[in-house]
Amino acid sequence: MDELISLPPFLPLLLGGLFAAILPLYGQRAIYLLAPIAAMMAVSALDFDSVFPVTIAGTTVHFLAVQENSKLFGLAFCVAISASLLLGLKHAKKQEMAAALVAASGGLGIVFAGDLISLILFWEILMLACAYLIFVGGMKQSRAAAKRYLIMHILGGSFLLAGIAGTITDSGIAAFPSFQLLFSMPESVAEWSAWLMLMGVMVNLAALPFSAWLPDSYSAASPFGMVPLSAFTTKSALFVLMQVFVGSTPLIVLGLGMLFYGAMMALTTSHIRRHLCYALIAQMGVMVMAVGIGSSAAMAGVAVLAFCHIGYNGLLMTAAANIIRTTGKYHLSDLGGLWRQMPVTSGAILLGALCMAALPFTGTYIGKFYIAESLAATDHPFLYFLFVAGTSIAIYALFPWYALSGKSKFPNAKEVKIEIHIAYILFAALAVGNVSIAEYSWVSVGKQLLLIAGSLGAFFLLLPMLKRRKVMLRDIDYIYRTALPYVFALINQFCGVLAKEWLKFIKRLKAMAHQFVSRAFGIYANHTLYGIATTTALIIILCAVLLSVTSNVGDAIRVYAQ
Amino acid sequence: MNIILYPIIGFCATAVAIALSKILDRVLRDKKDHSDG
Repeated sequence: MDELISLPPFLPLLLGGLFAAILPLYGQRAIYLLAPIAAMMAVSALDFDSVFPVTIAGTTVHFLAVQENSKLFGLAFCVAISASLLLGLKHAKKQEMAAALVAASGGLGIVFAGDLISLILFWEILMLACAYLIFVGGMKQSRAAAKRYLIMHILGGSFLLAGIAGTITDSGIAAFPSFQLLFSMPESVAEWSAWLMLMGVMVNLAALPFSAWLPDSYSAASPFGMVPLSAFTTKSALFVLMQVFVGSTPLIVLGLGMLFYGAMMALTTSHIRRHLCYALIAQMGVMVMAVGIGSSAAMAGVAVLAFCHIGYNGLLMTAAANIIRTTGKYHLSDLGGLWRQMPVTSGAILLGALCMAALPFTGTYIGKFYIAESLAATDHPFLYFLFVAGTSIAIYALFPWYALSGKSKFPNAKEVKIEIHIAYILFAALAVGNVSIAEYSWVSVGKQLLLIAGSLGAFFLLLPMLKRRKVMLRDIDYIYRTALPYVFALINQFCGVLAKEWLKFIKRLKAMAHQFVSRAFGIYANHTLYGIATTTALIIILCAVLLSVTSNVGDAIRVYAQ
Repeated sequence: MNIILYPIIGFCATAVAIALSKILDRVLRDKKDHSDG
């Protein structure tokens, strides 16, 4: 196949992000409009033979390759960054907009990465841009959360880098490998590398036990910052998972853990942004499970689901950002009756929640239907039951229920401006845009509607149990955030003792050396000819012995090396 | 699977999820107020 040099889609966004940080207002606005359009055109123009090789220090790095699903993810990323920029046009800081553009370029770079070297490069670009986006969020806890985000993602990046280094050393090439991991101890370099790569990807996917960074850092970003943040990191990690780890059985357990943990925490928390973050983790769990199953139906499902997820998640995050900005409230328990004042935002929330709950005739339904069928076909019916529990509409109905129903608590709340309506439309197009009626059978639609009806029945019956309280929940990070200071204190104490002993030893050594020198060369003090001659002879003999020893050792090493 | 089982599965699964979330709420509740988000 002939190779075609093409423009990599990450380039307009990366350059746009860098220039947006230094240009005046009109220049910035032109970039916010043109850079995503240029990236979208670049994605559309790509073909399977498109390449963009760059030789760096004698090594050719492939910055562009079109894999299966690359264009699907690329298109979703371009729409997501366009909608995010529209949202931030009037309310976000210049630095946030620039960081969002660079983060989008990192995400696009990952989904179009031609080899493992360009993958790790874009992985780090994405991490740095996201950390900066959190850092400039302007919330009380933004800076501390950005540091925690960096620590966690440096750890993840190091795992991935170690895995990539092992894979390249083992195979001799930097192309994307394909691993099918099992529950067994790794034995070869390739298997160790695969597990290390998986751990790196798990960090970005917010998989257990690394999941706590997501609600911690995303809820500490500005309301605008959360929208682009939630679009790129987890989805680009999912893309890598889909390329490298299809059919790896540990992913089923991992995904199930994410699904259940995310769903339970979303049901329990009252904080709007954390609630959405946990719902995001639960949805990612569904996709990770599907990659673990690895059948063609499951993989088709996960591709559709990931595409739609960027849309409906964006819708909910954008709506949450607007509600927080308008009302100044961060907890579900503080909201109520907003449908009167904010009808468009209310529509966006309802659509997002229905898509999340996989209502028939939304794109998500097709994805979840494929995955549910694959799960039902396995020998473990409890997997299907847990899947239904984790994807229950009760979890996703909480936000619309508390925000929209009841008496109006904010009579002066105002609906958002027209540019944010366009952002809603863009996200909504992603969420439902790829529905094909041919995919539906009326029996499956009936089954799904009955499943939703049962879930809604339980939701309304048990609604008093779901009363929100304005409290925060301890997450998994509570373990390492409380345990680590003790560990560091212990290390510190141990180092203190070690340093004390070391100082004592050095002191003793110094005293001994001083004693030796004063005895050996004290004779100089007499300034007699005999004293000087004896000392000089002693030094010459010492040097000769040292030279002979070193040359013999050097010869021995040389012989051994030959 | 019989079609009549679907609403029952949906109901039971949701009830289990809500009950578990109540237990989690008791175990994981942090006393501090974080009202500014």
